[in-house]
Amino acid sequence: MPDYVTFTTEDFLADPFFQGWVRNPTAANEAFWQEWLTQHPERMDEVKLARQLLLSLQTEQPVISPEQIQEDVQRMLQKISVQNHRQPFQTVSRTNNIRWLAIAATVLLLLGIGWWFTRPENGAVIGPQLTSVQKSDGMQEQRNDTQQPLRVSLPDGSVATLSPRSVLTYPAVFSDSSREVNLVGEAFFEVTRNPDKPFLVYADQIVTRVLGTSFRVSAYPQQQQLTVAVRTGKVAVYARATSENTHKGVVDKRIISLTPNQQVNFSKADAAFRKTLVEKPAVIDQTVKINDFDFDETPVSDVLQRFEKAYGIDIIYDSDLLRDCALTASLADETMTEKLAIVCKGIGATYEIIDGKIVIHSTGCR
Amino acid sequence: MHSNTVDDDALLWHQFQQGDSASLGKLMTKHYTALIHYGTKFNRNTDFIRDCMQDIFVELWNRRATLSSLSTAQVRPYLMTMLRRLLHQHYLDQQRYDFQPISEDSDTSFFDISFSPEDQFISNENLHQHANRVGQLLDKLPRRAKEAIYLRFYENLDRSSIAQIMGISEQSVSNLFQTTFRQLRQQINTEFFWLCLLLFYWL
Repeated sequence: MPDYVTFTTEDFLADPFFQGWVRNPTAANEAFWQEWLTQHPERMDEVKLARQLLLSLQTEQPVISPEQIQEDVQRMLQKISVQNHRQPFQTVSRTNNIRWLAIAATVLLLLGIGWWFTRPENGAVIGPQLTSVQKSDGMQEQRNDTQQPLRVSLPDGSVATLSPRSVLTYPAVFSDSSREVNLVGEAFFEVTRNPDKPFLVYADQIVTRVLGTSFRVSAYPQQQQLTVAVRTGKVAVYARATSENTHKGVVDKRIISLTPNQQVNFSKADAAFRKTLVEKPAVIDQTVKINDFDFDETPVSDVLQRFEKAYGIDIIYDSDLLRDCALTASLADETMTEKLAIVCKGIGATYEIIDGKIVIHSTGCR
Repeated sequence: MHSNTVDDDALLWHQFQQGDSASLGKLMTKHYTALIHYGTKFNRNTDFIRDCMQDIFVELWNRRATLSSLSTAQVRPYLMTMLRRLLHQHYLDQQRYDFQPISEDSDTSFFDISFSPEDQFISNENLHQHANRVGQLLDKLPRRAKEAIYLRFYENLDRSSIAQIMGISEQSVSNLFQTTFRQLRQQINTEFFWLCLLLFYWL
């Protein structure tokens, strides 16, 4: 038994026997503490405060199910096993990459200089053009009234490819703190990286915020659904309070973060986000080769890991159930969803897209 | 106490450093709940905390060769330190870029806990009122004090671990507790005094 006479409030609070008395009083511990207090009345203040604090130190903690723990641990293990395959290549090739990048940059620069001196005279542009309006408040408006997508170069070097029937408005000079553009309709943005100046696209009721990536925003006024789809990098999307949606009272206040090949749909009707995958996921890992999708009695978990690596999408599956599943197939030209359908058919499973991830349902192979 | 060699953190840590991913999985399972609970005090978005946990454990795995070995008592504080650092970085980023939806309550979004207890915990009505009052006093404490209290009395961590996690000296932790409890005692006593006076007046 510790020497309680020397105890401070803090020590009492941390003492398991004391805690036991406060939280679950029994005849035994009740008797002990009553007795102790009559012997040490001068400690009454310390004990009283400790007791009150202990009763107050209750806070709501989120409830966590064993399933959730299991799921997250599996997810983590899967990630590191994918990384294990990747690790040796990555470390070796990084220095090489930089050298190649330098060479590529030099060549591009030379080509650029060549083009600059040999380009046709200004004004000799042929083909469809944007309708460009310089507004009095320093805003630049680009309208695409043609039938094909047109490129818009923004003041910071970013490029927007504006779809037909779309309007992009931006300041002639971006502010010091951010790069803000307004979009009606649809555009694909390739944003030059600048961590000090986030790039914000305001489109109808949603705002898309990035530091440097490529992504598509679709917000035609007549459409009931707004979408943001990511090609590379990370993107954050959130709803903005407008007169239209605030009076409804329910605005999805979440910030949706998207990774490559993910897409978020925002329904104007209920002002809510739904995360999914883009229609045709693209291969984002440039080290993936065509024959990486040739499988010969390959364990399905390996197959799925190759998918994850190539498309940068999380795939959730029960590795125990799929332990005995193997696949022989040669996939190349199909889209990701077609490939996935073939894999699932091969092992008698189905898949589902939930919250921007792929979930494999299987009863195992035997 | 009970020494279960299979679940000993130091051993799991060692095995994981040797390249045994299953041991890392076991460590994650063991500390998952505590980490999520701690993390949600900084950011209510549980999904976000879960993603952060992924990042932490993947990072541990990638750096396993260069990590120092830890004793059993050091493992949980080490993980909590990593989580706190990540969340703090995220918090600073948000501040810097001024995410509109968050900035409304950005002042409370870093370490935020409510100690005002729920009814179900305390059956005795009188005690409940009193405890609730103390809970309100606790809620008004500075965030650092609240975090130290949380780590000390929820996670049962010692002062050196708390100092490590919060990135302050052990002496500062001691001072923090001393000041906090002195203040609380004063506040409670003053209130009690006024309460008595009021009652006296009424009677």
